[in-house]
Amino acid sequence: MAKKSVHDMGGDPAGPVDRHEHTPTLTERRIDAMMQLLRRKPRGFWTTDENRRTIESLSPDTYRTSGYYEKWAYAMRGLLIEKEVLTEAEVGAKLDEVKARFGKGAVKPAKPKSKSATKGKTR
Amino acid sequence: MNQRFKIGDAVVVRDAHAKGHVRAPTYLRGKRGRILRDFGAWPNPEKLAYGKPGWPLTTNYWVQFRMDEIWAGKGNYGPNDTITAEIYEHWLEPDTGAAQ
Repeated sequence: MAKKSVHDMGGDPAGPVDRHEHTPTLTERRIDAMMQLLRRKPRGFWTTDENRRTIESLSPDTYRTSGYYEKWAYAMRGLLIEKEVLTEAEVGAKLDEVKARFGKGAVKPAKPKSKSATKGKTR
Repeated sequence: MNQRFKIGDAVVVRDAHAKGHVRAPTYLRGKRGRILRDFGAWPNPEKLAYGKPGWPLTTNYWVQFRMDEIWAGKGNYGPNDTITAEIYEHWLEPDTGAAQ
């Protein structure tokens, strides 16, 4: 039997689903905006399905430990290079430049915060 | 060859293994359900995922499964509980053994 991919998790043991809402962080909004700009017309560099395929191809460790928009950011990086919009070297050079400007922690998306009013309650 | 189904038709999800971007989750493969809704024909997302145009078109359905068909008594669900999933026609076969 073929090993299933990390995202194909229906029926696997898992804890309760965290259903707390949170206000999107600025980083999450920026990733969302960038995705729409790249995916929709007039650019239309890739389809939603290509985005999903790329996210599903992340390493199991990265998939499990990354947030929703972090996965989008990884997919954008991969697809920009796959579609030859940017080269690996160009992305690398830009990341180095940003890291030098803000320090290493600044490029990691902020962790979502739960709304405190609903904290601890489950529906 | 892809088949068209009608609302209420008994179907089985193909128990096949496919690599890459696949739109039939493993936990539903080989499970028997019924067609609940027909969303019409769409470019095949499993081909769109690789930059192809997605032909031939494939019909997207809601297929309803009894929870017991999937989990066989393991888990916390009622006898009449169901789960509904979007499954494309190229993942479905007629369930010839089902009562009509």
